[in-house]
Amino acid sequence: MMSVRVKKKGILSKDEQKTSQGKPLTPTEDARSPKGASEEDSDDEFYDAERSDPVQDSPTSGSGSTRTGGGADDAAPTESLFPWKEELEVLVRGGVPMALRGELWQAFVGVRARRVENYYQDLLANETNCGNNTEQQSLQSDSKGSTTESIGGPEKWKGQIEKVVSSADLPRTFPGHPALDDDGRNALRRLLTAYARHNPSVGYCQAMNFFAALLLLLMPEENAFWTLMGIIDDYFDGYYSEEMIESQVDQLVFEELVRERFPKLVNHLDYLGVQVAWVTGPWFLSIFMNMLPWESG
Amino acid sequence: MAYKVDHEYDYLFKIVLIGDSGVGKSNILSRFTRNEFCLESKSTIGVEFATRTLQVEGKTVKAQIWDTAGQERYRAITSAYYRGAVGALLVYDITKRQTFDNVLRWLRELRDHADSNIVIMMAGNKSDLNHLRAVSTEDAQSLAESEGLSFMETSALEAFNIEKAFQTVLLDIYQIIRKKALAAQESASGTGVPQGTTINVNNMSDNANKKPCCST
Repeated sequence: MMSVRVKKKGILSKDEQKTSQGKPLTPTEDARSPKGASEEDSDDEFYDAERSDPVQDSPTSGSGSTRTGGGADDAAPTESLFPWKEELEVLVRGGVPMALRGELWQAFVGVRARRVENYYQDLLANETNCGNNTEQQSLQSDSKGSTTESIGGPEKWKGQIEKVVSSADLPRTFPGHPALDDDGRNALRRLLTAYARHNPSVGYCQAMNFFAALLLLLMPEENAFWTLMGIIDDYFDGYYSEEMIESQVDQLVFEELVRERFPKLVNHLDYLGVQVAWVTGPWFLSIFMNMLPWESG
Repeated sequence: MAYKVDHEYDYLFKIVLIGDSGVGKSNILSRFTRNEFCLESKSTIGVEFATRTLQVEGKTVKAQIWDTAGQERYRAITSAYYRGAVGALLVYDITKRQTFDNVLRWLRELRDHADSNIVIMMAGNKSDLNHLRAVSTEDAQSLAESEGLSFMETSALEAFNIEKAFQTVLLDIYQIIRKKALAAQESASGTGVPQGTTINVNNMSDNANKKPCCST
């Protein structure tokens, strides 16, 4: 699943990021063996039924989570290049402190290495005419690129972004967190617009708003852009594109896993005529952002 | 999804809400099933559904309404949701011409993925925003006639015609099914169709329990 894609890229720091993303999958892994259950408190109720290893901390969960990680992605050999990988994994699994998440996510996703001076500003600057800048931009012009979207013509995602920005998604997405004010909304609009122009083959896809907004709450706007780019272009390549093909693949794989681990549950869903993916698809698409208490992300 | 029937109701009808992003599908759903409206609702990811049980011609009908993401790319993953649907509410926004122009695309979508006998109601939503109207009632009326759809203007905000739109769809479905049942009864020379068991509308429910193939 996600981990495989990440592995293919072979960039070590990404493996760590994956660890935290992969976390919500632990129920299935837990069912296989009592380990990897060192989630923080807020996970408690969610994992209740599954966990057999109460918040056991580093020693136990240490070996546990490493093995779990190795199991999730079979391509473990790269580890040797990265001596403190295990240690970091343990720490991440234990829960990255809220205050450090913004920083750590940026580090994991490689914001510093990605950053290209003025790229973000340039994306936002060519408001009306064609895109003209670096790398990926050559594939498209910001208004032409989106004509691949069959209806609506140029930048048809504009309206969709507008809907998200003007709606009150944010406070309810992250309850307990101060709502994004007008400045925050403008930042979200810019962030999503810039990404859509950066990668017109994706443009804007419903669901991106949730984690884009979260990034804005945790880091400066431009950093949020590079982090968003890292997440979507590398970890979720093909997930939010027009065909959403990777998303579908993940759901089919996940359904197989559920079928294997929770046959009773799947039988019941079958009986109701409900596919696993109808329930879990949105979890994955929002990267578990509005499904779990966001403290546990 | 007309296959599972127990003591609580006589019929279960699956109805899908379709139409462009932002036309108000989710609010139509919440208005009909919970009598709620939220001016600033979240965009739908994937699918959501809710049910409401009501009386149609003296029968207890459980309407199971499926709300799908309107964004075009989500059709790649939502096409399977049409399976087993016996009714559809095709929604556009009377203040956005584009959403009306896309009605034909949605109809094609239904023809490709849904049962050919599906009952379709076209709903011009947001009728409360008459001062911003971009689609005339006459235009919509004539499209509905040429495509053989029922049509109503609705307002989820004002709870205008929402109930009526669903009632109409449910009644149409019920009558189709009753007609079929009667025909079956006659051809089976009065063996009788068992009440309160599986309802078969052109095998629509046949594959309800099967997994989809990857391409849907």
